[in-house]
Amino acid sequence: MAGGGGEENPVGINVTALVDIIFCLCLFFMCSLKFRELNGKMDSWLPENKGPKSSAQMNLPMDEIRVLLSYDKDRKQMQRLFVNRPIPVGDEGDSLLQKLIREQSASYRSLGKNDVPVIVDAGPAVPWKEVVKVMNMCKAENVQKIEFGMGSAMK
Amino acid sequence: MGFKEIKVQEEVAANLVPMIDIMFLLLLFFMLNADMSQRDLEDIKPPTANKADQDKPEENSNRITVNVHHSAPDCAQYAMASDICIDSKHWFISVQGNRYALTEAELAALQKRLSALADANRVKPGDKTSKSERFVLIRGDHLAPYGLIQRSLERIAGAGLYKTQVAVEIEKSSLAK
Repeated sequence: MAGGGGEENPVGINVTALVDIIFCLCLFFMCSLKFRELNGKMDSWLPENKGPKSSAQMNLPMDEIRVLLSYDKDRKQMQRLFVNRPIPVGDEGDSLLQKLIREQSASYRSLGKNDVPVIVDAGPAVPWKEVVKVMNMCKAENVQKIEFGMGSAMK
Repeated sequence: MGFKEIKVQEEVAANLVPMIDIMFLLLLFFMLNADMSQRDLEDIKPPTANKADQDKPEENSNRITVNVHHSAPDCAQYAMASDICIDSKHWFISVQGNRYALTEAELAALQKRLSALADANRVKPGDKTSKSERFVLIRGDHLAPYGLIQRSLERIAGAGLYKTQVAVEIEKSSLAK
């Protein structure tokens, strides 16, 4: 029996405490496992000097790669633009967008401009996963500088 | 008159089993309690990515976590992922277990809280206007509208924090490689 040894074996092991401990450990790991889903991160940086830019700064020609994202509520569909070029939704569109980011960043690099940012300019209703998808493409193409555009926030 | 001494053979032994039980229950309690104090992660589904860096929380023990999460169990749009839920009453921003609604007053309270957390690592200690070197992890739900994330970013920047990280779930296929 679990309680101890019989008459023929007076020295027994009480396993009750062991079972208690095992159940306690089970409980602990069951509780903690739920929060183990976070496993990745992407670094991004916010502007250190906040505040509006002066008009002189605004008029400077900017080197940037801009990806525009918007969400059509009526058609429940994403819309994407690379600079001014529409990008279709789906795997083919994803491949095309990644190719364009690669080509554009390579052309800037060939001019010695290695830190040209990709600006993800998303509308307020765009799902976060779509923004992260573009960030992921940038990471895949070794674009180090990813910035967020200033679309209008959800009211 | 002589008394006969009665010898009672008695075994004196301490039963340690209840003590061990209690000790382990106490240990469990403190382990969970200690974990709970750092549990500032809301239950969300982060977006997936295959090019993200492996997150090591122990390297960023000083990090602030900002959660952008949905909290409306009866919201069909979110549950079925048929459309993007843009009802601002359904979304919250949470920091260290404190939940903030998307009202101006609550967001101001959020910025105040973030500013207090940023104070620990200001470039110029004591100067609230100087920037902070503390990292901020943005844990946005994969279906969170970008407008919400942007509002969080505005408050993070307003508190003087600029080192941000975006939480993602690394795709299993990329982990296998």
